[in-house]
Amino acid sequence: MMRLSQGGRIDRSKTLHFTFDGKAFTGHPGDTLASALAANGVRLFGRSFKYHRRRGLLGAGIEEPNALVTVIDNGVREPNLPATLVELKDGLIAESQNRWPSLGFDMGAVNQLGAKVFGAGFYYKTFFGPFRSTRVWHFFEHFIRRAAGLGAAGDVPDPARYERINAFCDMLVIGGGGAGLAAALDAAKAGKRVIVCDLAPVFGGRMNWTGETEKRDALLAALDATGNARLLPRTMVWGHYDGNTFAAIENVASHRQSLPGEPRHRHWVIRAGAVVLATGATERPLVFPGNDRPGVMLANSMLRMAAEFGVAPGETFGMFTNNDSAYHAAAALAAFGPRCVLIVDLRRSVSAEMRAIAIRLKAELRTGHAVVGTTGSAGLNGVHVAPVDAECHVTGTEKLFAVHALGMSGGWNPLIGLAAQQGQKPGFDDTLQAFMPPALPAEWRTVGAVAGVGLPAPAPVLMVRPKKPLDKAFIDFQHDVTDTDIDLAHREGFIAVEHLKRYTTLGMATDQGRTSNVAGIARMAELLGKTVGETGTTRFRAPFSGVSLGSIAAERFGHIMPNRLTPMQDWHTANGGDTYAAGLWHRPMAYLKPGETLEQAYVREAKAVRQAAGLVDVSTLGKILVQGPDAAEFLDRVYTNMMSTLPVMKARYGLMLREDGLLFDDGTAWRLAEDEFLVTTTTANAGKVMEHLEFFLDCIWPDLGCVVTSVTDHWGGMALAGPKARDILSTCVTGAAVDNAALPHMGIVHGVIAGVKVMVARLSFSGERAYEIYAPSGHAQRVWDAVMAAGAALGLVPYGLEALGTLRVEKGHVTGAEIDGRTTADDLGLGGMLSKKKPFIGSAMAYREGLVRDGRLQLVGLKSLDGRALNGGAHVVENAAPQEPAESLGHVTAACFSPAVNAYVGLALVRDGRKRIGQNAFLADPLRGIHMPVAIVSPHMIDPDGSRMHG
Amino acid sequence: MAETLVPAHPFGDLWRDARHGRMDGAPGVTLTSKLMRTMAEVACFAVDDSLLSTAIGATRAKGGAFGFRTGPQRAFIACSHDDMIPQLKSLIPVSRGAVIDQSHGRVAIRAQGPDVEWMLAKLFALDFDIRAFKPGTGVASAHHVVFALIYRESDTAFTLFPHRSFARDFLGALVRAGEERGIVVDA
Repeated sequence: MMRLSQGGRIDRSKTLHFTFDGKAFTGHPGDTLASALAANGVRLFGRSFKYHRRRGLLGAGIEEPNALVTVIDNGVREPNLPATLVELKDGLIAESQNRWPSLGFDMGAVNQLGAKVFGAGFYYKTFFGPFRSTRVWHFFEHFIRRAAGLGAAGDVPDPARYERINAFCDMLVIGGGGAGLAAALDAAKAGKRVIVCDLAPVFGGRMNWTGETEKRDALLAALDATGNARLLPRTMVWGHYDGNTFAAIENVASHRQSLPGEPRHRHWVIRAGAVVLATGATERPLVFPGNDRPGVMLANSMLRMAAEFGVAPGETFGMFTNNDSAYHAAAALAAFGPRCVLIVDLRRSVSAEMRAIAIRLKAELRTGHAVVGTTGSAGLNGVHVAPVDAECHVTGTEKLFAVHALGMSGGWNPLIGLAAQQGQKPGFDDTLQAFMPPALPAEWRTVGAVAGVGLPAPAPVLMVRPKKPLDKAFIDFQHDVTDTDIDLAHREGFIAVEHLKRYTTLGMATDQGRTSNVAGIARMAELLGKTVGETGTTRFRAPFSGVSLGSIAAERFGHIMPNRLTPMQDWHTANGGDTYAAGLWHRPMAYLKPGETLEQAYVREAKAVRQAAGLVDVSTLGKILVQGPDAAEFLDRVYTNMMSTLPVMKARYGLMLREDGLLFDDGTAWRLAEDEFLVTTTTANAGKVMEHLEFFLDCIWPDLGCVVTSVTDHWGGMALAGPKARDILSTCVTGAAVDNAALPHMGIVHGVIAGVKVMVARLSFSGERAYEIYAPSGHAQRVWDAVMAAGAALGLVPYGLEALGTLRVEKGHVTGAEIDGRTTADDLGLGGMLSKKKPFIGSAMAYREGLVRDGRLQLVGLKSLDGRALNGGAHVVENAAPQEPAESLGHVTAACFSPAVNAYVGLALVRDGRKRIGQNAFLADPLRGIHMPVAIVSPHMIDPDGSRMHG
Repeated sequence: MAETLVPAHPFGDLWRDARHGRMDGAPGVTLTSKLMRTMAEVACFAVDDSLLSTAIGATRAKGGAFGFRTGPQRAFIACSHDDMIPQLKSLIPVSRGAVIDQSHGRVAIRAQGPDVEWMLAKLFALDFDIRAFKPGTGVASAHHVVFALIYRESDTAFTLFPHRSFARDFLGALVRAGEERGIVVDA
């Protein structure tokens, strides 16, 4: 191939430098990697998948199956890119694939000698029969994995930025060729909001290489003048989903240096009112021996290379066709300089117009003939031509013609993938010999070549079969599927198209069978004695072509989940609060002093709470306001216990069950007024409880006069706990008495702290006298500071989640570790909270046989007997022998060192646990090599009568 | 009392003058913080939700205020006055609906500039075109798990109301989305 002195949309005044397999080349702005390499005389672009055959360019666009390359940008490898779609930029580094040690000399080519072994179903067959042992697979696995695939992904992190964007339009036009632009213009003129996407950097489609650029420019100018169109070049629509939702990928900056803040690729989610499919059609090859030799290209791709990129296929070329389009391509290509010396047409007769073209070109026209072989070592230098009958059988003597390039045209395939991704069946058009768009919804329209407009009627899809065993006629260039593979699949019973695809790999990988499917299916149809239409095509699925994974991850790369912070976050950080993620929230584990370990810190904090007082941030608890005249009735239905009897300014602990009778969540309900409750939930379940309440209110009991609203973020919360908590509270709160009479356990008062109106509820999660103080979030830090200052002289310390967990383990309070979706209220010792006086969600299922039988796991306490720490998840067993731990009786749900018990303790769910209290057992933790004795104790390890809490 | 206090700034030290991303030319988006002294949700029980219109109307009448429906039988009210909650409660009898004080539960960020639609389209699956999202209207939506209320003030200005606990993260998301066209935080 060679660069023409003029023509194309490349800018010859500028030179770009790039390398391919380490060798330096130059090209021009507007070039693709393929056109620039071809202009430099490169004919060998890649190696085929199985046989490692030498492959050149077949196409000039998205249909390209051969010229797959890896592009390396700042060390990041992006494999399997068609060189025909890689826009050239200065400094581009590209490598060929699937070869070793080099593209020119590839050891893998030895596979061609074993072609019979590597036929269809190779992998399926290899590990059956004598080779079907696991050991044999393990031996071969390494080699097979190395051989599998084409390009190799790198292991360098990709620093590029990707993002996602949403778009809405009245009409989405997919494909910016002449038909697509015309449809877009009509809609935009009518005031519709239009989005036009095109894979290419330049709109116009075929107009760019068929001499219609002025018409293209006029269309684009008119479209721009409407102000209603958004044009997205370099944008491939690759997925069609429900409700006319489309996924597209925009190449924003792969072809140039990214600007600050700019993504490399952008993932578009487009929701369209109407859809115009203007995706065009791709030419398909003919199947004949030697059709994969470098220099054999699709006829119109040859023209496109010359017209769009100024690259001629050689001084002379021939055409092999079964339709008229190759004649027009030959004429147009000859206008750029190369001479057409031969036109071979499978058809016995052609029109006078086509004959005239051949005469004008001074090309030898051979009708009723076929190319039956190709010659050349580095690339094509000749073709063997012979007469054939209507079935493509050779009927006469071959003749050799010298040509530098051969264009072939086996007809056209409309690009119908997006129209069929929702499962509709495409139909086969016998005239066009192509699968056509299926029946589409009313808001869809197909225009241009995808609808068959302007496509020539080819001869039926046939193939010229090789005479010699080593000759190959390729159907699928990318996966080396030949006519014999289809025959083999047929013989072995893989006759359904979906089976054929998987057995032979026909139509898989990056090109998705755009050049191969019809020929493969036609051969199977012939073998089955059916029509191509009866044989059908495989299911079309997204993506239409390769999509970068980065674009799908988009902005979530490196920041999977958002951070949720409490109003006291800055204080925690400034005071040594070592925060960690608890769901989305960030909460301090403990406030470490210099030199302290985490265990030392939480033990110090928990001890301080038991001896004096501690303050912990509980802003993360779910807080839901339940309001309305039926609020109490609603809560009676969702809680297991009665809430309608709760006096105003009192709180009550409550349980919620799922409909299946298992525990769902626990929390408290505060009655703030006759018709207003504040419901608190666990941090982890806040969202689920809110959804649960909304579902029942909106869908099951819409008649109730009641609304639920999350106010979690409105209120900052803190829990003040310890024997001196009341003393501290009384020194900083005004406007409310907090003595035992005025504020007993489960009482609520409104007061003021540091000028801030607060709600104070006497609730305890620690087993100590404790108060939850809620202040508006914007003022919560001010209140926290005031409480800390008030407690400074009384030994008040801040405490974190680890100490909070220790205190609750000592007291035997349950949380998400025990409410694990498998436990019942009775399992956790809370069976008494299931009201017998009223129905509630889950009440009908709570007493099922399986939920009340003996042998269920029940909550118990555990105490280490040898001074070693307990591990969460360790199994409780009866056997003292570590090597034979025997049957698991249950597992540890939470563990800590308890300063109150002065031992490592934990909570566990143990089979018939309550009956085992007082017995000893063992913890088996084989993964950590631990087997240790424990005592099974009451989960209420401190203050079982509650005197500390109620005092 | 609390009403006379200035609430802590939800963005902390993150809220400072800065320009991010593209530096040439005028910024595509400018973010400013808005102090809304009253933010509230208003709900009604009956299908007849004319009460919401009454509440929205009363709020707008005070000036410096937004009011818009956020879903069936729900509306959101935001204004710079701090006496709005009692007034709303007087309009919505407890037998027919509820007023929920969210003055500290959400934050208000104003995003303004020629590229504000472009920036917001990266975060929300909403049609921000002026023909579909008219000034004076609002919606409830979410960016992944970050819920936000979005109110359109004008062709090129929106006020966003994310939950307070997500405020800093959401600010980061806004800045990142705006960097392509240049974004300024005007503290």
